[in-house]
Amino acid sequence: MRIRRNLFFFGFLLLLTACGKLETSPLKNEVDSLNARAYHFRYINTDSTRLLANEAFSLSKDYNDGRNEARCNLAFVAYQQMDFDGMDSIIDEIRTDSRKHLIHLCADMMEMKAAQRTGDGEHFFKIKSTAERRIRRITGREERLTAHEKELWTYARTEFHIIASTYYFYQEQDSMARDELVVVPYLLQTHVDTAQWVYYNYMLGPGGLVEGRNAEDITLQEFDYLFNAYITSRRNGMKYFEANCLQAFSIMFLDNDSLIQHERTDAYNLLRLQVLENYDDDSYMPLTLAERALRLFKEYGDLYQTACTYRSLGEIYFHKGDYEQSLESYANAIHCVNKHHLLYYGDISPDTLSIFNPDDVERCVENEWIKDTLISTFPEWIAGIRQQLSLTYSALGNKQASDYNRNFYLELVQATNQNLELENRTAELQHQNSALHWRMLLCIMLVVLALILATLFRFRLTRRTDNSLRELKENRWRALLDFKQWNEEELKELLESKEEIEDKLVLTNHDLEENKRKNAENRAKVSLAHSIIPFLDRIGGEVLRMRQSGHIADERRDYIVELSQQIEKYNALLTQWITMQRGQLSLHITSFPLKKLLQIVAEGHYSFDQKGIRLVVNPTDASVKADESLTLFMINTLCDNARKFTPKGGTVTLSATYTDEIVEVSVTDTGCGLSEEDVETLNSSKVYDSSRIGNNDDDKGFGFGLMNCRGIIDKYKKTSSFFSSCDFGVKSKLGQGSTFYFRLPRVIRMIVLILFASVQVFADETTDYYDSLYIANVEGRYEDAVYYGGKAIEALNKEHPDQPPLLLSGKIDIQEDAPELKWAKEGVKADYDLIVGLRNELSLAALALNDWPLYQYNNRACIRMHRFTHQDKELPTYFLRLEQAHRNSNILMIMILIASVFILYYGYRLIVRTIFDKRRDVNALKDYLLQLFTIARESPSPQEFLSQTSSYPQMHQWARKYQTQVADLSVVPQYALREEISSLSDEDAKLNFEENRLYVQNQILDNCLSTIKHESMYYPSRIRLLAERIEDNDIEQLHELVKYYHQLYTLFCRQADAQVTQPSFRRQRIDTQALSSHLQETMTRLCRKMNVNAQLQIEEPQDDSSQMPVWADSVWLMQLFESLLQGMLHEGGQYRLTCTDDGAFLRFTIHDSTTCPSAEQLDALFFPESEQISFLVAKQILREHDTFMGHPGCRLVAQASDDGGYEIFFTLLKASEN
Amino acid sequence: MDKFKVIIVEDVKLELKGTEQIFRTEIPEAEVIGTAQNESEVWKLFRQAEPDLLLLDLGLGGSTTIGVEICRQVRTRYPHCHVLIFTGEILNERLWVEVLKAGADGIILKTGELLTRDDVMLVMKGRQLVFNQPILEKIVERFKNSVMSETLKRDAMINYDIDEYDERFLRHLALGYTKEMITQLRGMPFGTKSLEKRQNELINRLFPEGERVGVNATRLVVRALQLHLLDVDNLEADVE
Repeated sequence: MRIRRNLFFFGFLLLLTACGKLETSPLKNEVDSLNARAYHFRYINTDSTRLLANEAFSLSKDYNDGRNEARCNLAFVAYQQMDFDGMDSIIDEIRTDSRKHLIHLCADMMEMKAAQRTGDGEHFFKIKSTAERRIRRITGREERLTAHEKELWTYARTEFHIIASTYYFYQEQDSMARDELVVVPYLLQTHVDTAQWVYYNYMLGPGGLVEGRNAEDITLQEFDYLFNAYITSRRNGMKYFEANCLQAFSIMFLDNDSLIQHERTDAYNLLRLQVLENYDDDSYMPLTLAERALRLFKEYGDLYQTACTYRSLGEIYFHKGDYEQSLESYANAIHCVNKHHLLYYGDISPDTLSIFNPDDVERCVENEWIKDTLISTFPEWIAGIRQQLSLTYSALGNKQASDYNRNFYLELVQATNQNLELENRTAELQHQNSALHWRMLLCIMLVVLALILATLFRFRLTRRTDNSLRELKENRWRALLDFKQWNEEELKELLESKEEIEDKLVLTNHDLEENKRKNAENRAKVSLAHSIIPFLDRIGGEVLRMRQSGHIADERRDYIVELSQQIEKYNALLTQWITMQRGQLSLHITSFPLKKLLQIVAEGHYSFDQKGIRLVVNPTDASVKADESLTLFMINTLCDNARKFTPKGGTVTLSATYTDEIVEVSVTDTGCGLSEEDVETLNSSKVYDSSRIGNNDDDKGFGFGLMNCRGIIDKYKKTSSFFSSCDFGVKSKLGQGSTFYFRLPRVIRMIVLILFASVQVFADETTDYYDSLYIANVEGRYEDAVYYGGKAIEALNKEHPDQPPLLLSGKIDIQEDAPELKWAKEGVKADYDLIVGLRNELSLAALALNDWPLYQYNNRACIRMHRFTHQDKELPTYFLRLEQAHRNSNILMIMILIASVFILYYGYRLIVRTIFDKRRDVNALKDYLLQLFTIARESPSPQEFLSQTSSYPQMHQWARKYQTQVADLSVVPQYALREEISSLSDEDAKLNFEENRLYVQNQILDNCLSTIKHESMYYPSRIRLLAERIEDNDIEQLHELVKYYHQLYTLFCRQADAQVTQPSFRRQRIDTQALSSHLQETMTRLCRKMNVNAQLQIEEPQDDSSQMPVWADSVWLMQLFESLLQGMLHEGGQYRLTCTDDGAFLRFTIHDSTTCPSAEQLDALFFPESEQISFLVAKQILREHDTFMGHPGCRLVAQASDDGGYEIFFTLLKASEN
Repeated sequence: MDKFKVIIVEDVKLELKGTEQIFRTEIPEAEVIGTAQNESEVWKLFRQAEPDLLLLDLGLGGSTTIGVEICRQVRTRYPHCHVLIFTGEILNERLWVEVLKAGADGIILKTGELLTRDDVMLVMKGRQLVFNQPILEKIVERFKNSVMSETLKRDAMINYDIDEYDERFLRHLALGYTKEMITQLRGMPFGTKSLEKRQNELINRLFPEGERVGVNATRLVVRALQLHLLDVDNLEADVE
């Protein structure tokens, strides 16, 4: 072999001399060639590589690529010699000098190798990602590469995967390591690179990266790969790989020699042949292999691998039970480490490692190395040696040295763990980096999406807003329309009810007017009746004188006859008048419930209370058919009577009882009662002197009330046979009170919804066993410790019956994780710290007991678990950091997002806000409007409305506008209408009351006048007859007759007077100018009524004073004009009405130029003699004015006029301003 | 008695006849120089000859109160002419007062004895306020009532122990004075509090037991008026 190499070397030198003076291009080729050779010698002889590379370097001053390639080779040499600092400086030179990616990639490979070996994961991944980037760049341009460059390219790519795989392998990330290697054979297909191919095979050899059916299959496969590598490397003189392979074989044969011997007999034999030259015993195979490897490594000059091989040797000796030899091997390994350290870092840290330093147990030199950033060291390397040392010392019974090494071992595990973390973090960071890129991209996409969405949103919003605005507006509009409709309806309704009331008022007014006119007539009738009295007085006077003189003077007799005749005439006129109007004054018969009337009486209890009388009104549900006003009048009359005649403390009871046909209303008092005679009188006589009724002289004087009541009942009876059952009467006994009653026909009327998580008590059991295990270990009771450990594991298994059970010990299966690791990976809840502790204590116990399988199982489980949980333990902080990083990037993204959202937001706000504002405004407006409407619908007064709606917080311009509008359109007019209706109703009620009163008054007057007519008619003729045939002795008889007649007549008149004294006159200021149209209407009506043609000319007043208003009762004033015109009217009459000033009065003159009655006729015009009722009414009306205006002196005069006609004038008091 | 000239103003012919007859038969001294049925005739007669006596009916034709006006004018234009009212206005007491104010010498109601010689002669002798029996009865009745009411007042003052201050207090209350205003009156040495006390005492005096609850100032004043402690016609504030 050596001869071959030398030959090769000489050839090379010859070539070198031959090509010494080559031009640039040939020089380039030479450099390339030198480099290729340097490369070739990498795993054969580092010195050759260095020489060739240096040669190439010195030749390639103008050839950049060649120079740097040479540097790469030099760097490799530095790496192999573990001169990392030297390597770094060479790499730095390449970095500054080269501009070629391929060269940089090669440099990257060196850096990666270094990072992998020093356990600098962070740096490893950093370079790895750079390298990946470079590979990606070159990949597209492969065809442009020269043949030499292609070689480099193949090297770099395969190297990349192999280094990565190595890295993952040492990180026990087997699957990843395996994945990395998959592509290598494919890459090697295009270009043959023996070194890399060997490397690949070696990689698959000892590492457990091969997948197989079972452990044996895997071992065999691994042997195959390894054997391939071995054969090729041996054939190519690659000492490095040969040594590696041998070392691997040595370990492999420790356990599987028989298997390989059996299955791969040829290969085994070959190996045996090559190695076991001097030994026959197969059991020396591993040791021999390892020693051979050690020799080769030493030849090659690789400290690292030498140390590794010493470790393997140690293991082999340990396996053989030769602990002393084992310890020596480990010591050699440590020596290698120290040698390396001193070689490069001796000036920084002169301290070296020792296999056991009993003086300083605490100081962990390797840890100091690791912490010192200037020192590069290999923790895993040392850790492995320390663990073995611990085992070996333990086996040698040196517990202290064992513990010393075990502690350092654990500390190194800890340190590598940190590295692992760093590595993981780097990976994570990388992952994060790409994730961040993705996220940024996503972020941008999101922004774009947000923009799109925002645009869409805006469109939709605008559309929706428009829609909702439209809707709202529609709603508002609808509400507005509803309200308007409601308002219109309400206004219409109010207007209707107003009109209704107005109509009613007109009717009431009309009724009132009618009643008033009738009243005036009745008053005129009463006056007519009164006008008889002077005649009666005259008769009385004459009779008196006759009695005084004792004889009958003819003159007097004639006068009496004449007077009685006159009385007869007047009576006749009265009779005629009454008869004429019969039927006009009919009763208003209606059906009504008595309850209402009794209520009215009950409300008037105050007048009873004041007198100390109790008024009891018994409720009733009876309804009667009668005249309501007159019935109330009768009840009132009876109650007033009862009140008058009941002493203090008494009771007046008003009640109504009924049978099927009649209702009897009765008023019972607790007064003094009436004598039988009085009862008789009251019940039978129509006429009686009320002043004579009663027993007590002071209390005498029933008014005309009872007579009026009787008159009313009589009137019912006269009206229809329906009222034949009506009755009026009194029941009384002296001293026992009285009951006055009346009966009226009855009307029958129809009346109309945490679960308590189970406390994990079992954990305590495990803890107890663990504690026992720990104490047993401390106390050196290792057997007990293993026992307790078993118990603890049992207890743990009990806690997790669903999980694969934990084992106390077992075969270490590279392929499979220990059960507890499976638990942890699957996230089973368990106390993993306890398990790590447990495994540690167990391995300590096993170590002490020299139970290697137990130790190895537990140790591995402990370390693996420790690594896992440590990661886990560090997870929170790690996650915190991770999260922070995430958060930072997230914050950045969120900020970007927020910024974009803000931009979007503010951008759109301007647009959208107006929309929203609009919407809000419209909404608010809608709400406000609804409120306005709701309040407006409650029919408040304008003040109430304004005060209630002004409190609304959103009193914008428009709100005010709407408020004003609603107020103007609805509230104010409605309120005004309601007020109007209310005042009209009041007016109507007032007029109704007045009308009622007049109606009752008229009815009673009617009754009185009827009575006068009926009861006194025959007296005048009797007087006349008596007077005509009078003898001297008849004087007394005549006297008596006249006296009785006078008394009777006066009584009747007083009954009527009692009604007439209640004034019906209503003083009003009347503008005379406004009367003319009314007068013309009246004239037309009268003409039609009387079927005559006549004209009325109303002259304009001459001066201002003639235009003044007058005091008058409007109804009666019109009736006055009407009566006068009616009296004056004849066919073809030409009438002129003038109005002139007459002092305090205003004179109205009606002038008729067509006819002229005689002076006598004119004088008699306003007397019954004229038989012109209308003039009598006119006279009565003027009389009423005179009486009730507080200034007598009104005139009513008929006189002949100068032009041959006649005129009638009347005067009315001017209405002064005050 | 010397003869005297009479003008009779009577619108009802038949009555005029009776009146003339009375003059003729009972008062021969009277010379009826004219009768009038309406206002214009009255003045026509006056222009012809001024009478010593005017027997005047108050109502003439359609004008029912014109007599008052005639009376007034006669009294100013013919101051020496006596005016005796002879009327059927039995009920219209107000017209009586009006016509007396207008200067009538007396009023004879057309009822009972009607016109008598005595009444006419008294008027002719210059006697004022000549009334016949029915009107005298009415006047006396009114007078009696008036006197009675004053007596009642006096009695009430004694019966209800009303002193000068009570009277003034009540009177001013009736006039609408507040208690504060009343305390300001001259010669009213009381404060509001003591006026209130006085008011309560008055209520106790004027109202029987059982009716005193809820009596306010108005009710008290009304009660005082009812009891004639106050005269409605003479409600005047103290002169300051």
